[in-house]
Amino acid sequence: MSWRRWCKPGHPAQLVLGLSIWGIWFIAMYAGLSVVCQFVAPAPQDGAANWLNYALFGLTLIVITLLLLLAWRGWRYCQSVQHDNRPQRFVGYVSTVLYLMAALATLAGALPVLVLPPCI
Amino acid sequence: MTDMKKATASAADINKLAQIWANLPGWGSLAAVNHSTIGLRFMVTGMVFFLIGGVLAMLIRTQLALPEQSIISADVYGQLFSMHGSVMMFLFAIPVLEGLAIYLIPKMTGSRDLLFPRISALGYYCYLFGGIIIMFSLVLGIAPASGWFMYTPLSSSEFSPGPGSDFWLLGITFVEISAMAAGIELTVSILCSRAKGMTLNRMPLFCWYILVMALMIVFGFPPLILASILLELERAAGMPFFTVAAGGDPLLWQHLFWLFGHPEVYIIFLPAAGIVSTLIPVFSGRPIVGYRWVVIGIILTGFISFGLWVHHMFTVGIPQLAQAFFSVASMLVAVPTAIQVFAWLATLWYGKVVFRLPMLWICGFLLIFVCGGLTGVMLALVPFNWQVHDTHFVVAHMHYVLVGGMFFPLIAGLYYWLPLVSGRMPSEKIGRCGFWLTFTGFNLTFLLMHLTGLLGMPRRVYTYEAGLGWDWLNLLSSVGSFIMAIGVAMVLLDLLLHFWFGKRASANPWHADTLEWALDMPPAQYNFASLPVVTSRQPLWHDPTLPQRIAAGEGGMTNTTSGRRENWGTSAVSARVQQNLHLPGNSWWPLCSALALAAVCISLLCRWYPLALLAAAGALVLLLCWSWHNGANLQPAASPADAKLALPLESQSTDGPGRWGMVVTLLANGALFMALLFGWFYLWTAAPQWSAPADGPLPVTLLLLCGALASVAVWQFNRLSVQLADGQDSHLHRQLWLCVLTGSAHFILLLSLFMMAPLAYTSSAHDAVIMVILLYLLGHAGLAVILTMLQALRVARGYVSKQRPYEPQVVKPFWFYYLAVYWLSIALFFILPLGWGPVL
Repeated sequence: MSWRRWCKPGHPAQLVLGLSIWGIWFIAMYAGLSVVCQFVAPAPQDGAANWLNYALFGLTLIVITLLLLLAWRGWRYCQSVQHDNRPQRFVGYVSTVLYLMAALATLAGALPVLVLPPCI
Repeated sequence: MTDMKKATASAADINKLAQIWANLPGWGSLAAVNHSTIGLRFMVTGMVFFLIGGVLAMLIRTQLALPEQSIISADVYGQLFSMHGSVMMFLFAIPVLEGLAIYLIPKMTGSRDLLFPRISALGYYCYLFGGIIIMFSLVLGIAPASGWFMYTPLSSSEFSPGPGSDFWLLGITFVEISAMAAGIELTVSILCSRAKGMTLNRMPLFCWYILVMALMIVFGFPPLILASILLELERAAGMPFFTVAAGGDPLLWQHLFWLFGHPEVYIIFLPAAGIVSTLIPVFSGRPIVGYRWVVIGIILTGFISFGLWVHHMFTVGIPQLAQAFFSVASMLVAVPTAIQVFAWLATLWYGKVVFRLPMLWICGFLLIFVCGGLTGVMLALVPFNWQVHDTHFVVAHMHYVLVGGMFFPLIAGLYYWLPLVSGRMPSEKIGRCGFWLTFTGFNLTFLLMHLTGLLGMPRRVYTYEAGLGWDWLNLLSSVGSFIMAIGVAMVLLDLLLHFWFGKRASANPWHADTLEWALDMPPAQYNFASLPVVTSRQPLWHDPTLPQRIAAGEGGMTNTTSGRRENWGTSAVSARVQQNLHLPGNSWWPLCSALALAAVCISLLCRWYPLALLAAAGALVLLLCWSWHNGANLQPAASPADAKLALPLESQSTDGPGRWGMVVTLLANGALFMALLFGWFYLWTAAPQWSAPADGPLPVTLLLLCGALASVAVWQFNRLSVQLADGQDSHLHRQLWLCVLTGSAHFILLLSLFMMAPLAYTSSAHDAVIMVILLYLLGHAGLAVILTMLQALRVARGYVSKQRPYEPQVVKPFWFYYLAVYWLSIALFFILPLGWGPVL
């Protein structure tokens, strides 16, 4: 099994990669929040402006950047495939949109860290 | 059709095909494995359970029709609503949709059967026996009474001392074997055996929906299976996973249950939406608008639905930020659903809609489901959720989503595919009457129930005082429910009567576009006389002569000289023909294995543990014997029809559906392991009285040594399977036994460690979890050794060789999976906690 093949934009694994990244981000956010709140919770009086929220939002920005890069790569691949009905083009198109959707879902999910304190 | 052998399907060929694919007569039909038979059995059994669940609902509504009634006692009422929910969710909704998928998928994808037909049969029997066991508790008056979600501590032995909870936990777990079997089978079949040319972008949308549903089952059901096992262990063996005083936490149950429970809603909705996406284009007379966007919507739904489970738990005391996090995710899931709704509306808008009977139900679905979706978005808002939590508003929302989102499309689908099954048309008059009664009754019952909930009526109360403002609403809801029941009865009567009185259906009576309508009505057991080649997303619209050409034998696999059940194996994306698959035929193994598993279940219920152990051993032996007989045949018959295509048999290749099946099974297994890992970390971080010893329960050095042995065994197995794939089998037999030896050494060392571990598993949740993970590892290690041993024996008998290198390639992922979970377990359950220090 060649992992390089899996990473190519037209490979069907791309259909689930973007949302899998979203899923890992989701788990990291929820689990990270729970563990940190249990052991080193930021002071409640800091409100939303505390190191934990900054860290969670920083992680979010990294994930969004990665997803947008993957979407851009997928879009370029779609442009390069000649025949309109090729399944690879279909996979490329669908996965590109799914990367964008995953990026949007990541951004939407992280917006509360800008306004809410984490451990209350 | 350049590389397809053209031939004429002679009467002799057709007779031979029919003979090869026929079920055994009389009692022998219990050994049937064909997808049409199994699919119909699933659906008929599901409808029987639906009737039982419906009667329970009627009893509930009778009791609530007037205030302060005592027709039903509080205890019986608890059993009724618990069983109503459990029956409808586990014994009706999922199985009936699985049955529909099992029946339709091969027909839609141009195949002759699903790829693991005996697994389908096993799944059916597990479902049937599990369902009977659960229903038996109701007959005995000892049914579970803790709600269909069985929250702890109410369902724990302290507050539910009778066997009711045990019936639920063991019975539902038994039924879930069936769901898992269907999930794995459908995934692999859709990916590996579509018609030649049916590329991913030409696949019918129904198949996309079922593919995502099947994968959701694979990932979604294991958390509930784990939760059920843990709760049963707590009830039967006193292992305190959910007991606060011993370091457990009842909220862990809620997390594990809803990790399954919320995706479950979409597992039910997606196939139903697949029916809608199939029917709307047919009755609009045009292809669906935005095929690609619908696929995007399906995949998005599949993923995002796993990120919402906490919205069922907003009132249990969760930090604001976490609530907001899940609230946003809950609202996000409306986006992919909306994509699909807009695609359906656009298709209706641009098409010329014919309002035949199935379309009526689709229109009912659109109206009800959109309303249910909107109240779902309301419930995603935390403050509103708090207000209506555990009220009848939630009950009304749930029924709008589930009845609107599943039942209405299901009836539409049943009416639509009825002519295919029976060759007859339903009655439009009775059908329309049934629809309007059901639609009116449903809305009368549940639209008003929103108001009852907003006025504060809690759910799961067996009666209420007069004068609280709920009286007239409840009375009308009850009247509505009986109107709905009459409507449903009319529909079922119509479905039944049409077998005798329905008009003969013409070929492709709805002018549909998908391949199942290229078949005879009712279809032959082998489906296609010759396997079709697809060049379009709408094959029957693109080529109306396709049915005749298939029947004339112009497709593939027309030769029957092998005497075997044959099908093409195709590539997942491009649907290129790659293999000649020999599918297993009628067999008693599934029934015997399911009976042995039922014996395990009943013995556990009766607390006859030695018998349970014996039955479990029997089940294992039966399953291993089955695997032995299902393997490669020594003398595969030649298949001249496909000789020109030079198609290898699956056993002659190094990749194929069996290997895919193993990988998908391991994904499900991995989901169970991850759920256990989640439980471990959850208890560590959230259980109020979690305590862990300063030193680990087992010596780390010995665990590392044990891991080294497992690593060597995997290295050995990997090396021999790579050599075999390269065509070398000179030392294969010896290498396999060496691997068995190393694996056995690993197993024995691990078993010794387990035996010497000082685990206080009845007084400490920490030790109970350690015990479970050790048992999990031991079970896998033992199975890996047994499978390798079987491979060695099969090499000795010539079933595995360089000409037939397939089977070790199927076993290999299991070894790799085991090695990965072993090292992860050692790191996360034994080494990482050393860094925590003593937690008391």
